[in-house]
Amino acid sequence: MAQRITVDPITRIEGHLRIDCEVENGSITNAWSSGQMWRGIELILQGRDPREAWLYTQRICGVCTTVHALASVRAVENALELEIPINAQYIRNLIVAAHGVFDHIVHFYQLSALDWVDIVSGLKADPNQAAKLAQSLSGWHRNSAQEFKSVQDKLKNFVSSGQLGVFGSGYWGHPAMKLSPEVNLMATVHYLQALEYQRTINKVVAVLGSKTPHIQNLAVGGVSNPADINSPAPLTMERLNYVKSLIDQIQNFVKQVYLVDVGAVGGFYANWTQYGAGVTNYLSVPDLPTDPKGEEFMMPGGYIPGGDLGSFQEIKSFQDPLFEDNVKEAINHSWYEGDWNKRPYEEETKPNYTDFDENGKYSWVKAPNFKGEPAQVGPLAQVLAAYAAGHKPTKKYLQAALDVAGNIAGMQIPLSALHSTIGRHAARAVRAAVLTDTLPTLWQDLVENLGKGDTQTFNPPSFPKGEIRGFGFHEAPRGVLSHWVVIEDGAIRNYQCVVPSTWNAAPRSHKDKKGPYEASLVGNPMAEPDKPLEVLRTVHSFDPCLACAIHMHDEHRRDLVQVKAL
Amino acid sequence: MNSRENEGIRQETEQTDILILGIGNILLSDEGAGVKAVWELQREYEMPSGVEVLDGGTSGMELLSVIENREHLFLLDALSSEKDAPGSVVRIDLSQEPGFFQNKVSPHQLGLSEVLAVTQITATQPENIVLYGIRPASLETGTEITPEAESGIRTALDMLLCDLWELGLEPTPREQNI
Repeated sequence: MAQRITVDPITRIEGHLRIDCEVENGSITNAWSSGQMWRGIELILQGRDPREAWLYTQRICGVCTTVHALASVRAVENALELEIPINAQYIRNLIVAAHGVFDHIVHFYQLSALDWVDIVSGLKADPNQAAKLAQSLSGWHRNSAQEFKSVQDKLKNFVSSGQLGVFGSGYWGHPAMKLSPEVNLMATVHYLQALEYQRTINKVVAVLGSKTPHIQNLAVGGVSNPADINSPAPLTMERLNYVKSLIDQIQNFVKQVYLVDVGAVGGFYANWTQYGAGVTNYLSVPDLPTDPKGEEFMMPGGYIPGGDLGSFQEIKSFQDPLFEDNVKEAINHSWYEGDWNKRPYEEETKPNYTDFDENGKYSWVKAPNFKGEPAQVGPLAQVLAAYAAGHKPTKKYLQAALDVAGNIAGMQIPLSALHSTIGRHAARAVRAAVLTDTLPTLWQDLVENLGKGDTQTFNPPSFPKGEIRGFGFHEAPRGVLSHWVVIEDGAIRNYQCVVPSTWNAAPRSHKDKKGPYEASLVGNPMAEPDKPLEVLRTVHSFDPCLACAIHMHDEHRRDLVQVKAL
Repeated sequence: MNSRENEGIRQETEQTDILILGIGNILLSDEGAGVKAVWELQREYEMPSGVEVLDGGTSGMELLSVIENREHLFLLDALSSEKDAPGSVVRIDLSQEPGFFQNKVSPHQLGLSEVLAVTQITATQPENIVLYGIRPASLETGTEITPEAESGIRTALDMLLCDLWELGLEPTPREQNI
C-alpha cells in the first residue's frame, strides 16, 4: 500500500523546508520540496545605497553570512565596471577559502555524519581495533588507541548520565545504519576533533574580516583592511603570520581525516552511490579571481548538461554573458502572483500564499533554471566542472577519495558513482582539500605583493546618473550564489538573490520538471516510514540551508514526521 | 588557563569571562530584538573589564569559539511563546534546566541551542547561562522593530543590568550626547 510521508521541518531548526514523499514497497515513488517561509528580504534593499547593500545581505542567512556580503559587492562592482586592487582579491579569496573549508568540515561532521554514523554503537567498539583501522586508512597523528579510548570513556559517561545532548535525537539502531562499532567510534573521535579544526580555520575569517560572525572589512571597490606590513596598521606582518599558522594547522586534518573519512563512509555505504542522482544538469561558477577584473581564477566553473562532462561549457569571467543571459527564475509552482519565468533583473516579488497544492503552487521557493532547465548546484557541480576543465588539484584529491572508497568496498569506484547521495559528500571533501591547498598560495601571493610596496586595497566607486545593472556570482560552500542589482541614480531600484538552496530545493519548473531535491528522492529506499533516515540522508547531502531566515527560540516541540496511508 | 588567550583577535578582552550575546535576524523586524538589544547596550553603557558584548546575528557554529569556557553567558533573543503578551520578557536560567536544549537539539542542523549542546559534550559549556527571551509582536520582513519589542528590550536590559549588579559588575552609562 502506498503511504504519504511529510517531513516538516526537515532542517529541524524552524521548519523552512518541508518534504512530501509517496512511498510504495519500501521505495520513494514521488516527492515534493516546499520552502515554508517567505524571505522577501530583497525588498528591504530597494531605495538604499548600493555601497551598503552587503551589510544587509550578510544578515540573510545564519550559516553563510560571508558569501552574501561578497556576492553583493561583486554585483555592484559589476554594474560599475569597477576593478578592484589585487590585494583586495587576495584578502577576499583568503576569507572565501577559509570560510569554505570551515563550512565543509562542519557540514560533514556536525550536520550530516550522524545520518551515517551510529554514535551509540561506538560504545561497543574495541578502541584498539578502531585505532588500528584508522591507522590503516591514514597517517593522521591523532589516531592513537589512547585517544580513541579516552573519547569512548567520555561518551560512556555522557550516555550513562542520560544526557545525550546533541546526539539525543539521532536514529540510533536504525536498520539503515550499517557501520561496525569500530568505524562508528573512529567517526565519533573525528567528529570531536573536527570541532577543534573548524574553529581554527574560522579564525582566519575573523582576523581578515575584522569580526565574525558577520565580517566588517568589505567595501564596494575592495576591502577596508589598511595593509602595511611594516606599520602597526591592522594588517601587519604579525597578523599575517598568525593567519599563516592557522592555515598550517588545518592542512592535515582536511587531507588526512576529512577526505579519508568521506572515502571510508562512501566505501562502507557503496550502495548509496546508486541513489540520489536526481537532476544531473550541473551549474557552478569560477572563483578565487587572481586579477583585478575577474578573468583568471584558481577554481573553474561552468555548465554541464545531462551529466555529460564532454558537453562542459566553461564560464570564463565575472562578465561572462553565458551566466548573465541564461539564469532565470520561474514561479509557476511558487506562492507569488503570476506564472512567469524571468531574468532576475526583471523580477518583481509579489507574494500570494495559497494552500499546498501539489499540482499547482506549493512552495515559497522559486524555480531557478539555466537555459530553461533545472540545475543542481554545489560542490559536486563544481568538482565535476573542474574535472571537465582538467583542473589538476581537483583530479588528484578526487582520485584519493575514490581510492579509499574502492579499497574498502573491494572494487573500483568509477567517476559516475559521483552522481549520487554519497557522491555529493565526496565532492564536498575534495573541494575542501583543493581549497585548503589554495590558502598557502594565496597567503604567499598577498605577502609578496605587499612586500613589493603595493598596499592598495580599495578603488573608490562613483555612481553615474541613470540606470545601470550588474550581477555578481560566488561559488559558495552550497553552490552558485548570484546577486542581481539594478541601480538608478545611485540608489537600488531592484535587487534579487538567487541562492544555492533555491536551485536545489526548487519546486517543479515552468516545464513541470522536478527540482533537484525532488528528483533525487525518487527511487530512494525507505526502511521505516516513521523514521525517514533515508530522506534525511539524500536531502542533507545537498547541505540544505533554508535557514536564511528565522532561528528563534521556541518553547514547544513539534512533530517531525507524519505518515498517512493513501 | 583558557584556550582563547593566544588568539590575538581577542587581545583587548582576553580576561573576559562574561559574554553578553544578542542573536536574531534584524531583517525580520522583532526577530532581531536580541541584536538590537546589544546594540542599545553598547550605545548606552561602557562595560567593566571582563565583560564582552557581541552581536551574534544569525550565526550558528561560528559562535562556538566565543561561547566556550565562559563563566557566564547572557543571551538575548526573540522567544516564541503563545502564553505571553508581545513585548513581555521571560528570564530562563538555562543552567538550572539542562533539559531545555534536548528538545530542540538535533544532529541535523545547528542553531544556537545545538551549539550549546556541543559545548556540553566537549565540557566547555559556560557555567551559568541565562536567556532573556523577548516575545515578538511582528516577524514581518523589515528592519524596524515594533514598540512592543522595543519595550521588551528595555525590560530585558533592566533584568540583565540587575543580574550583572548581583555579580558586582556595574556598567558605566555613556554621555548622552552620542
